Amino acid sequence: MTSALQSSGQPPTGAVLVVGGGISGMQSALDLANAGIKVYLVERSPAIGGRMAQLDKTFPTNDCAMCIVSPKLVEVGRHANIELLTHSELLALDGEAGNFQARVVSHSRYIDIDRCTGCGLCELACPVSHQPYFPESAESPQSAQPAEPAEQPASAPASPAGREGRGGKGGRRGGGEKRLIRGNTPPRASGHEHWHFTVAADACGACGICHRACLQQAVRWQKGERADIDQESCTGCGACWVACPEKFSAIRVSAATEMEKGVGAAVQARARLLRREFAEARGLGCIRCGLCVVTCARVMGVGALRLVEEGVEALVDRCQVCGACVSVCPVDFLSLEQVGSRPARPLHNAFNEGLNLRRPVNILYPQAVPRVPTIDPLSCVRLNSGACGTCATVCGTGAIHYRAEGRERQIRVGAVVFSPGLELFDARRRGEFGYGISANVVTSIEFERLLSASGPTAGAVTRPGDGRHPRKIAWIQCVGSRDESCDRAYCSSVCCMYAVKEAVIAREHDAAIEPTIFFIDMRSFGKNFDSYVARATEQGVRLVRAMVSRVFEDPLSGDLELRYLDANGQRQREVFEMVVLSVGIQVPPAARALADTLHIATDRYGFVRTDPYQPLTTSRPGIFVSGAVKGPKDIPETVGEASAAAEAASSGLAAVRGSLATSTTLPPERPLASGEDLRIGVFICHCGSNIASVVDVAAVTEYARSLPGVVYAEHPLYTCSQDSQERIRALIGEHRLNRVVAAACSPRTHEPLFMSTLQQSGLNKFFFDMANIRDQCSWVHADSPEEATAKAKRLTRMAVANAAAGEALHEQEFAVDSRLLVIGGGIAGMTAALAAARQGFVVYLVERESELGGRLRAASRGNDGRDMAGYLQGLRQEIEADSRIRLFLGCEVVAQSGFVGAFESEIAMPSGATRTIHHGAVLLATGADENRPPLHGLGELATVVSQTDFGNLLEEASPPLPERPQVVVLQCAGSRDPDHLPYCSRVCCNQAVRNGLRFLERYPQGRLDILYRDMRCYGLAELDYRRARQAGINFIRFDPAVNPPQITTSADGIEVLIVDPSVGQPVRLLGDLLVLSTGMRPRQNEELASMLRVPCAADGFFLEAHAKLRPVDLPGEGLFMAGTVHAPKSAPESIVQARAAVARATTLLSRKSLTMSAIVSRVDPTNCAVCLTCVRACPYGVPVINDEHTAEINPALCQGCGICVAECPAKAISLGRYDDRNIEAKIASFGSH
Amino acid sequence: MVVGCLQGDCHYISGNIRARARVERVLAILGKIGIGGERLRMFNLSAGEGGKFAAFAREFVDSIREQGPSPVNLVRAGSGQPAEAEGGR
Amino acid sequence: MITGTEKPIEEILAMVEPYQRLILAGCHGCVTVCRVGGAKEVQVLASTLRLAREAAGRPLEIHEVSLERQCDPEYVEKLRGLVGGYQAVLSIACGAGIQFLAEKFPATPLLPGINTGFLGVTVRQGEWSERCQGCGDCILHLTGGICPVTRCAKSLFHGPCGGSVRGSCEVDKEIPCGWQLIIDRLEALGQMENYGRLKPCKGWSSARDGGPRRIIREDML
Repeated sequence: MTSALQSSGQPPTGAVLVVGGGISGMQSALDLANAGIKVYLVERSPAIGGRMAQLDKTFPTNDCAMCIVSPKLVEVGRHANIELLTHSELLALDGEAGNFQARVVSHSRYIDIDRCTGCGLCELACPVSHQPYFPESAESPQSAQPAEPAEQPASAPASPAGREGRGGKGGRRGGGEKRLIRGNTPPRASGHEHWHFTVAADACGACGICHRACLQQAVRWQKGERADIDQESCTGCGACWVACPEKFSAIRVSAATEMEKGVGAAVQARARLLRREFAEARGLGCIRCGLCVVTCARVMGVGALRLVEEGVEALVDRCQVCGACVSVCPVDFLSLEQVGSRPARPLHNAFNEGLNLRRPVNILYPQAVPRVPTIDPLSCVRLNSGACGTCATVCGTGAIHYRAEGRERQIRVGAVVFSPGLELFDARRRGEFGYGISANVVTSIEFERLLSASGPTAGAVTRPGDGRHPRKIAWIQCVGSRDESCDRAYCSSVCCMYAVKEAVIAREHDAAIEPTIFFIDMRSFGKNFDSYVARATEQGVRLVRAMVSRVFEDPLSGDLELRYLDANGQRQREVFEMVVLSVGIQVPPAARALADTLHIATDRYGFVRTDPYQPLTTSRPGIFVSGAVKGPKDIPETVGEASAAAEAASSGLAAVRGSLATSTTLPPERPLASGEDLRIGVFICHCGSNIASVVDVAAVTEYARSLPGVVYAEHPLYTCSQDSQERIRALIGEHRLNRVVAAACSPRTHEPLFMSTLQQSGLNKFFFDMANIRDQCSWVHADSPEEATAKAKRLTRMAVANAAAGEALHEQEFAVDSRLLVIGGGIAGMTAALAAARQGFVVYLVERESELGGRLRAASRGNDGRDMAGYLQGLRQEIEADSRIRLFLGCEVVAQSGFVGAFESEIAMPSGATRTIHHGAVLLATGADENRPPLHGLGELATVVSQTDFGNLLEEASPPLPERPQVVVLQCAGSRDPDHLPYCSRVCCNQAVRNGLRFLERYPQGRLDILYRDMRCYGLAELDYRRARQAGINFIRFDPAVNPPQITTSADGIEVLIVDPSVGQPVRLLGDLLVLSTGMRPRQNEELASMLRVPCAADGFFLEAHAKLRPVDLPGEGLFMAGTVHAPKSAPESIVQARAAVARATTLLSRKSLTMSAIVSRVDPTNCAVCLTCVRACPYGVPVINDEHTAEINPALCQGCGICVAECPAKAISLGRYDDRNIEAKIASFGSH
Repeated sequence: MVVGCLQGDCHYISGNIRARARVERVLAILGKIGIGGERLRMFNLSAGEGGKFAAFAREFVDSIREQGPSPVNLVRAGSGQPAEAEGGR
Repeated sequence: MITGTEKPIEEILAMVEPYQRLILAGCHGCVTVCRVGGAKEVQVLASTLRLAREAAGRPLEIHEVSLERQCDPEYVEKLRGLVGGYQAVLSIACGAGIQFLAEKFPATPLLPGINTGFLGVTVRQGEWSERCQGCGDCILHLTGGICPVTRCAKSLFHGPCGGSVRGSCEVDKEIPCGWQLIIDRLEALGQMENYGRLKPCKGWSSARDGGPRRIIREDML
């Protein structure tokens, strides 16, 4: 199991390269980085987050995916030990385990990631909405869908000569078709917000073109004389300016907002103002503002538009169909079909699955990390024709560099985690479902975006075809899964659950929706999944067991008719208004190619091959794998696997842990003199023009100066930029500031930055407060600048009051005991003990039995048919040989106290004596039992056995079976049954199939029937299920409510009567043996749960801290679990969890000390009434009444939620900076003037 | 207007549920003393529901506008009729 | 502990109606634990009254204070210097505390801010239940630790009345018959002989006769 990482003799490199920035890569990166390993996280797309960021809600908790993933994004983005390489690719990997050299290319974003503040102005200002037709490049229609920018070479911008060659030559118009675009009403000149045009006398060529271009007779001109503009009649449309030949350029513009930046910026500014003024007139007709014409000629350098009497005239062949004129038009007068002759090629927003449009410069999604845009070199006008360049002119930090090139670098790492993620099956390949043909057939991921509140429809479920709200929606399962015809024979594992979830959420959005899911087997095999499905059906989700054969579209209504065979074999037709295809998961071609480059073995589908008992190790030593690239899986499994891969990757690097980690030293904190006057510095941010275009920042600054305690105020362009941070640091020293307030954007993203600036200046970081005047003022009140300014003043005032009330808080440190207690010596506990020992920690392994091995001692063979006893023996020997593992056999943990980093446990020895041990973390791996319900004579008759018994029996030299044995297998015997085990045990279907195949190996003449409810052979196990059917195993489905099997058992044999739904006939099976798939049941965990102070679920398994993102963490700090103590699972899955739990524990045990938050509840013992309110109210069970008869809250365990503070009847508890003092200061300040 | 996460989505497990109970207590008090319980409301929203938030905010602002200034503010401004608490005197 | 419930705010407003300046006094003992009279409730009630009175155009000045216990003279003394400056004291301690204040400051009107309940236990956060009526003659050792005086609706002393139906009290099906509880418990304890043991009639003199009861401990005087 150990990977020999130091084969070359030189010390390994204490760094790991993680490929892929999805939830898998992020989790690996965090676990590694938190354990002191330097991480390079390489992500192809411009931002991390992966698929999970696209999801709306996640099953089975219906958590908002973005809400739970975004804190992880921020943590990865800010982690000192993680170097984020987005928009980057791993090109090659040389060297060997322990010492790899990775070649990584970072493609050019054309944006300086260090300078960019993520304000988004560039995206706002970019007028291009469609892929333009650039004359130089010979494009084929196929390139209409621009590929991912990452695949493109960093192309140098075209020469600006292109502009001269094509645009602005008003004199040489003509050539090609002219089209007149007129509205319902004749054009009205706007006159509003107009620009002043004058003629520069010295430049005027006296040609008269401007005179002819002016539709207002405002340009006076006589032949041979210079032109002159009558300001009285000028409406500011710019027709003269556009018309003036470039050799003269005699028309000058003034009184134009932002013109100093550039024409593009000025056009945007004016468009914004006009849009506000003409809000009512939208769609009514042209207001002849001229912005389309000016944009086309002066920004895009095309000159395809002209203002004429009747409206706008377009040279449709000259038009590059970029959409700029349409996007700047304040009244939505123009449409792209009118102005150009070539088909419009929308720039689809890939994050929203193409359901809406994006600009060539864009931030991947609003919460993206890094929040830095990327310019698409295919569609950007500047990069292709040399015109435009608007984004660079509006960028306040000068972060846009059109000539920037990608950069390649060599990175030395000790190991690699390969987790490039998944892509979705192309539903077009199953043409019969109409995807790509019928607009109202969408894929499941598109539906996720439709459900998402931040998606293209803001969460309204509408049909892409006509925007109508559909009532009847059908989901078709297994599109690109379990389908040999398109080479996707495996099961994608997640589709059943996501479809049920989407159906539930759709109904939550719109109760009128009637969802129907067409499925083959309902594969809700995970923890709590069955009850989720049951709840869904109660809530009106209809489940139909049928494979839809075809979808027909009604061309008039856009409705869709589905045809299928129902459970009775009858043909059915049913009309739906929308169809969602539950598309499967597959390995992206780029990931396959990269796997080849890295020389790691993959299977025919591109999934990375691993040994079931070394599930994280690829064929190339030093490269580990996690996530969907090694087989379809859901988020919690992926997260677990990611932690496990992190553990595996760092296993050989334990000796060099911390060698490359970044540590920062801070200057000593300046203690405030008692009675020191308030000296508050206030920074009012422009955020480029994000804030300043609406809020009068100068006025807010002036106002801030008048506030009590404020000694300094200014308004930086970007308060968060690097130079501003330096400046704030200098100003803190210069003005002896003892409080700092930033009125800027969201504290959620920026507070840590400002706080660290305070720390670097020797000021306590809690002498800070922030007002969010961007989101809460300029963004939401863009149309009311005065009110927005007033609100900004008030928010600033409140922040100043709060900062003034602030006091210095300190994050305390406490030492961590690096030893690990592992409870349970089954396969999970043994694996964990060995892994933790290899990480360099002392491990106490406590096993209740007198022998290691756990439940699997009863199994003869493992998943892949390997000799289980031998495997366990190997682990046992390794454990016994490892001096770091202290083995306690026949012992039990009977008491536990302490907290994360400093636990104390008592172990009852076989002698009856107890021994006390100290350790920093606990790993719980006490397993589960095989369920043995007294059904059909199990335990009494030799002819009735469990699946495990059957497996063992097949390995016996001479099994007690006749020559041509007949065996009947009953699935869900005592599972999914409220009278026995209500849940699905996940492993039985696979076990039955494998035992069935093994049976046929031994008895080719034998007969095996499997009676099942749903065959839940998820993932690649579906291939075995397929093999089993091909090998002749007979599968008969039953539904306990419809056709329950009648089973008679005796010592002589068995008889089963059942109606086989596939033939619609009753069948009678006679067997020599009845095999029951009985599932797993939890051990008696109550005492253990109360000792560890963690909850057990109603079904008896332990509850994880978070069902999605913390699958191996118990809800108490420093407590982890692995294996079947969590839920039924296979041995390889337990191994993954064991290593994941070790990874999580390593993030604690590898530290010398832990820092606890300063925002924790503190009890004032003099006021404590010992009333127990806090003890009862705390959702984490932290407060206790101590021996001094007062409530005590351990700061190491407190989560800082403040519930106890609010509940305490004696007002004896306070919470850092959220004290009454602070809240009252804010409220008082809110009310003052 | 108090806004909490959706039920079940609280980062602090039960914080939003406790918050709702407290808000309800306060609005009962406000109702009884003639300030008007309608002046306080709690909404549950996810972080992604900007549109809904705006709709709730508008709705709440409209309802406050309709109710007019609080009796306390009217008295402070010296323009209002003193409010009559339900069982005040 | 002694429990209590909030008085309806209308009632309190009516009580404080004549005053412009008063002291609101909480107690750090039982009423803090049962969440009606602690420091926080003082703040909540004071804010409520101020708001209500301001809205009514008759602002009320309230001095907020929380005594360690209102039933001990030393703690009560802490109000001595203060009461003179106010027209009344509104106390949210139990009835004992309020009366003690009234006794100590005879010149100052005392107003009750809570309704004092009973001697009880915390069933769970937010739920309390009566367990003792302080009758002054405890026989719990004979009744399986269940008090017939408190748990029986009629405070019967010699077994259930005719209204005990399937373990429930005739007053309300939700109320378990106190005597049924006693019998069940005695059976479980194997002490049924206690049930049959003839008890003399209860002397209620220790419970409610002869004016307020007094306890005198000569050894502590």
